[in-house]
Amino acid sequence: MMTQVDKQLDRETLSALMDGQLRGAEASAALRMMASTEAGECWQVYHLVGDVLRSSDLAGCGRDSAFLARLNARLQEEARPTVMVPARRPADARDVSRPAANDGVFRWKMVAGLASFAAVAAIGWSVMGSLGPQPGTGAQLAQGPSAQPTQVMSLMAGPGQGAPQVALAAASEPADMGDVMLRDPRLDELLAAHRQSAGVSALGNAAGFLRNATFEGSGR
Amino acid sequence: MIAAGLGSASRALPGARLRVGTRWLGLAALAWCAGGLVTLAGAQGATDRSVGPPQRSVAEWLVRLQQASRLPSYVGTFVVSSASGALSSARIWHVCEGEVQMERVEALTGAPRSTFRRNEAVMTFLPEARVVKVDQRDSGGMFPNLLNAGQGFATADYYTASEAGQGRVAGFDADIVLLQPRDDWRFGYRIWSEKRSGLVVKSQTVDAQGRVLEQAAFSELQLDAPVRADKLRQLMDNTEGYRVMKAERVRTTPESEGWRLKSGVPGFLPQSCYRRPVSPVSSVVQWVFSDGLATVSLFMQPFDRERHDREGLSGMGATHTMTRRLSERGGDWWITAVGEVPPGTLKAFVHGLERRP
Amino acid sequence: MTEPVAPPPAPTDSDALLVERAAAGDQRAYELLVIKYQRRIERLIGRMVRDVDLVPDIAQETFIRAWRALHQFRGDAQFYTWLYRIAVNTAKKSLLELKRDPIVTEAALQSGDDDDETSRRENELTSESTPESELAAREIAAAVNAAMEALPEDLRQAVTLREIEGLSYEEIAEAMNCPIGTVRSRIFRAREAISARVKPLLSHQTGKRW
Repeated sequence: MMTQVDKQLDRETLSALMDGQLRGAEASAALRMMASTEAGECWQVYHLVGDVLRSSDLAGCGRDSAFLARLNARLQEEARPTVMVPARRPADARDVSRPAANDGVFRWKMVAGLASFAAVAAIGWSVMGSLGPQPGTGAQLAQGPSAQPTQVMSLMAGPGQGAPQVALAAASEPADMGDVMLRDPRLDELLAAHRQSAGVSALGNAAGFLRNATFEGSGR
Repeated sequence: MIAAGLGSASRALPGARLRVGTRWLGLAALAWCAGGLVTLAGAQGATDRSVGPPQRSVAEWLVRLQQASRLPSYVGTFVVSSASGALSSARIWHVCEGEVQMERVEALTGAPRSTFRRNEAVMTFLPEARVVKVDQRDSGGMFPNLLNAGQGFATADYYTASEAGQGRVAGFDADIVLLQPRDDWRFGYRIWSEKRSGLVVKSQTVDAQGRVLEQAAFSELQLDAPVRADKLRQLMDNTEGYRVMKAERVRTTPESEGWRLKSGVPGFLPQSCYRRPVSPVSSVVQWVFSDGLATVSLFMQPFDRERHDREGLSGMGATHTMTRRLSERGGDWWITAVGEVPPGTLKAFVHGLERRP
Repeated sequence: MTEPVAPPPAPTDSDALLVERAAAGDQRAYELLVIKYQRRIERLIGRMVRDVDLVPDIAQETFIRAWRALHQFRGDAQFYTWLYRIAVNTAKKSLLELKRDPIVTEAALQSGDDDDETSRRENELTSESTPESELAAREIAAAVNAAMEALPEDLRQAVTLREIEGLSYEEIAEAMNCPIGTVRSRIFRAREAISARVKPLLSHQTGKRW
């Protein structure tokens, strides 16, 4: 059911909606606002801008203006889904990867608790933290992790079985957020050189080739 | 088991030697491939076994995974994704005819890029810039060393292998292998190895808390696809309309470049050292280390105030980088460390690096 | 429209709200997702399929199949990753049906396809590669670049961190040492400024009906 919204389109709200920043009633109101033609055009252009910023060759895609009209017509012919949306499962507090046997489908688990780490490891590169100890104390890092042969990682741990927290001599947890570093083309060159030298790996040529390559993603 | 793979190998190679990449494995490895139950002479951690399900050691698994490059052919779509949801994907054609391995990789994400490989020669076509880069692939001297008792290559000392049942990926049954690190200097891996050929169809890089940092998998795959090497060759050789750029990478040694590692990281052995240009007037030294599964590159270049302004640690997926300014009598240097290792490992490398007196 | 019954989306997923609504049958919410991902999906398909004329059809098919399968999407992965896989499968299906993969020769294929196998055209710029559309694409890219350069530093940094680096508002707020409300405002103003330069170039496209 279309509702033409009379008042001025609130483009700032649309921008926030794009970025997943709205909740509850504010989100619902924003979605109602999205019903208008003007809102649709604004959404279209804002996303085009984002796509082109990430990858200029996307400027040439999606130029078929009738595409959406055709799609809409076909969607209306489709029966509406009758299954109720299951409530979103909250991420487990320590969502260790499930046993591999169930993982028959290519599925990526967004793991809660990854926060301080993956929070900055987004599409590009970001600085995790300052260096910490001065060079003079480097010697202690060389010993760093315990020399015990105990297995520190359990790949089979299910939810609820926390893997032991291993102190990595303050080496792996980021200190403070520090500056955020924008992606550096010179770093890309070094990454490419590294990728090349990683050579033939047990993991297969493809993984070595593609890791560190230009990632694309939906943003978060 | 891998009768098909073995069949093609023996067809292509008379005599009792199996070629992996550009190296030759010995008779022991061939026997292992055939029987699956023979111990690998000289391999660390190999145990005697008579009957029962095969329990392969780390070394045996690595050899098995590596030999899949001898597969006659496959075509598939490969996707690498990191925990943040970013993904990178390509379509891959692979063919092996006798002594020649060829691959074509077409990027499906990011800037357009076509990469062709014929044994160690690599051509990368960049349509946007109309440039083709000509280069060599590092053959990675790791795997043959597994079988040289004298080398005692690190990998088996630093990981343990355990088999974790079976799974199904892209329509193929696969053995699941866990390669778990014995210490915190490296990550662990969960690997799905296609049952017949050993081809890695999926892998996950896992950190010490068991979190999956990165996953690489075929989302669809066709084994024994009739890929035509002659067609790939034609595409690879056709540089019309492209400016050809030869990679300028020169082999060197850390000693001659004036570097040494006063304290290394357990398990990581030096592999190679190159000098490569980063601009028309400056170059960088790259020193490569590996433990057989993960690789670390140390890049050293003279410090430049304009360009080198951010020291720190960063990461994406399983890959981390670290930059640091190193001051010494002769001047200042800019160090960049890159590797699929925990940040602490990069820190140890960077702090262990010093100029030779 | 009714209030959502599901818990609010996790802060890190900008698609979650739309996906939930779409899965409940909200076609408009789905359209917004289509607009968001149409370009990338078409580019992906274009790289797999030689014939550029097929790309819009395969893209349509992809979005139809995704709509039908939406109730199976469990929200424990990124929506785009899921959609991406559907696109690859749909394109592959088309390739098989058309026997179009030039490198893989199937028994039934004769060598009639030889003439188009020596080019790499499927990689060269994207979908519709007419001179007009290539020029238009370059103009749009140039306009975006020019607009970015003209932005005040704080606006440019905010939109870069959001669009290129994919950081959340919270992370950007921390990085730029400002309140989240300021982040929201800066990103919006940057988008507005860039859009203003781009919109005139799109005038042919925006006659869509909603």
